[in-house]
Amino acid sequence: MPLKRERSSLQCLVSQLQDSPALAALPVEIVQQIGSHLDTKQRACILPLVCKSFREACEPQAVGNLWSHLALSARTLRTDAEQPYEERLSWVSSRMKQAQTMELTCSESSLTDQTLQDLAEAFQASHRLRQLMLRDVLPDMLCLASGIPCLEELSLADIRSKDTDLGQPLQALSRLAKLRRLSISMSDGMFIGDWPDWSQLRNLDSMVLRGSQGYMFPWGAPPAWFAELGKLRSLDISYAGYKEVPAAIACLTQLTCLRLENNCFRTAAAQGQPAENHAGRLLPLKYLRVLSLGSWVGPIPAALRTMTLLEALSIRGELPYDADEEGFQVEEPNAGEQKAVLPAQCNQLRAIRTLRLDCFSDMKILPPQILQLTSLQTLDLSNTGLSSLPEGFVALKGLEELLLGACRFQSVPADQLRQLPALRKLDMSRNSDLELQQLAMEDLMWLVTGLQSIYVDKLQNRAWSQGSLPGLAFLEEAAAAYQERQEQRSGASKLDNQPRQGSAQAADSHGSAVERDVEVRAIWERDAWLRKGQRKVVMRMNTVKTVPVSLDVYLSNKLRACARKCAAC
Amino acid sequence: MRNIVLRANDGADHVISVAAASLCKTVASLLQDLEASKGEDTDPLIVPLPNVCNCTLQKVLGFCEQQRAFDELCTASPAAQQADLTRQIQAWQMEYMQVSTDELYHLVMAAHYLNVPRLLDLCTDAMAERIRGKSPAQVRECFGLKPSLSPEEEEEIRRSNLWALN
Repeated sequence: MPLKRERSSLQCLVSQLQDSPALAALPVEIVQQIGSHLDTKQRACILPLVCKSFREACEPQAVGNLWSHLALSARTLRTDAEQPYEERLSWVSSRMKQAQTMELTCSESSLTDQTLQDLAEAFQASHRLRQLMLRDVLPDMLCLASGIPCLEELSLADIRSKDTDLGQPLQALSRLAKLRRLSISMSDGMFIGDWPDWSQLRNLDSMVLRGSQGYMFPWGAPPAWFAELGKLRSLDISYAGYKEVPAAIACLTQLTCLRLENNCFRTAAAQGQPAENHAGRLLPLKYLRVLSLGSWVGPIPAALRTMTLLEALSIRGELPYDADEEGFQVEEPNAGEQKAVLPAQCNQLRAIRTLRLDCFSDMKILPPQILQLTSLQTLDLSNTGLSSLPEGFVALKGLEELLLGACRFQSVPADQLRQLPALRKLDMSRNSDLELQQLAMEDLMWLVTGLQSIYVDKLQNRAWSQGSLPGLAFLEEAAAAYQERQEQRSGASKLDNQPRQGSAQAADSHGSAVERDVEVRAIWERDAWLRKGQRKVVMRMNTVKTVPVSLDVYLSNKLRACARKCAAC
Repeated sequence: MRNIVLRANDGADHVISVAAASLCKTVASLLQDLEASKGEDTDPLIVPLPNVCNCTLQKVLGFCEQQRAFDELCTASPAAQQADLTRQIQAWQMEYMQVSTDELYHLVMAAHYLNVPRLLDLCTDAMAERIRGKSPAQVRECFGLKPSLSPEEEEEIRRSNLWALN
């Protein structure tokens, strides 16, 4: 319905000041497109009540994409509601026929057998449906998904049924020949013992199977039909309790992304022939770009050397089990021997950007091969035994993120880190022996102003340095330095003084509140955040218990002065 | 790069590159027809758009040019900077959508008529944003609509959707 209107720009301006009855004349397809951005409930309950044309657009007979996305809860179809069941069922199924994407939350046991059957029929009739996400599913609800003719993407989040083998119920999915993406996550001790026969799912491009977290026994070995999934590019089998790399994976030579997280692989400490070792099954995967293995005990597979395309590699060492439980003690790693954590050939990984080697508690010296991976942007060495960075570390010029949490550092190696021009995130939290007292003021300044995010315990302690207030002076300095830079960049200072005033007022209103440390922390964090101009400074405050009262007053005065200055310019 | 002229309903002309104008599918298909009939011609093509007023056309063309620039940036920049660029684009679109409801209405109609899918999506999303969380009466107030449903009709709609409310 093209709109016939001849208007000059002046008339156009005038019309903006008047009511616009023309909105009621929006074409149906536009109203539908507007509605498709809203959630299902609002589409059903609000939109049709607005006006006649909106109501027309919301009719189930109206062809269009209003209902292309549908999110429902199975509670909608419970039998004890006021509305007759048939009416509700017909409402749901008429919308389902138009849906391309659907989310269904099957909470509790709200679905009776009859409802399940009706729903399954409705699903079979929904020919436009391409994506389906089922949440909170019980195994016998899988029949819902199995009948949808054209389904391309299926996600089953949270399949629950205590300690059950999911293999048989999953067999129902074997009919979905057009499926391209499949994602299943389980909980409550579910596992796959007997694998279903999915050899028909030849269009699968990505498959994610995540087991339940507490489950310790290994799943059944992936069967031979894995070899027939010729289009599979991405495979994720996590929490499956595997102790060996499954043999079937060696057939998937075309894989670009492989994740086998939270299994418990072990290789013999004595290096055997790589082909005899189960790690050798990774050798044929030459096109991998993303590889994630964990936890891995023993030497890391030499197979890595053939994966020259790798962009992200993540290998976890042995997780300290039940670390949160009482009575747990970190075992002191055997003194003396340092295992070769990375095979020597790893310097061939020219494309690698992300390297994560956490939980290798026996890694005390950075493997020298890493220093040759100059393309690295993210390096995660958390939970390792590192206490210093090697001399050549500055060779990693492209490094943006460096994670050294829960290591054994005693000081921040600032002189080395400051030579990394791209570094913007540093995590040195949970290093229990870390001392900041020796850190030079300029290094401290660099930590706060030079990085986008830092996680260092006790940093603010050092910055505050109770009583004497040099910390505050340092903050002022930092802020001034930042402001100067800001002004240089934008010519004139365009700092938004609105939030700054807000924080000053907040500081005023605190008075002598009891939880002063909390208050000060809030102001301080906000202020530091403001000073850094939208760049978030995250600091762990858990070590601050009390802050002197005078500091609070001093701070609020400073903030007020700051706000005045801002208002003036 | 070649330019064409788009003429608004009040006769105001806007010069724009063919690359940017081709984001409007209506203009793109018009161009194809015109080029097929005219063949090689050095004169700039003039496309009259009788359904679009001057200020709306200006706004639409601003979108096309900016999107074109972003597209070129996207293809030129390495994968690592894509996320940054996406943020930049989103920020720009947020800024662009700071318009009155009536302007938004004209914009959505123009995007519909000129067939600019990305602008249409952006505008309908902005409209949905103004509807979100409001009651029917508040939506009417926001868009300046008169109630056109009889109480009986309203009751009927309410009744048939009652269950969806809880």
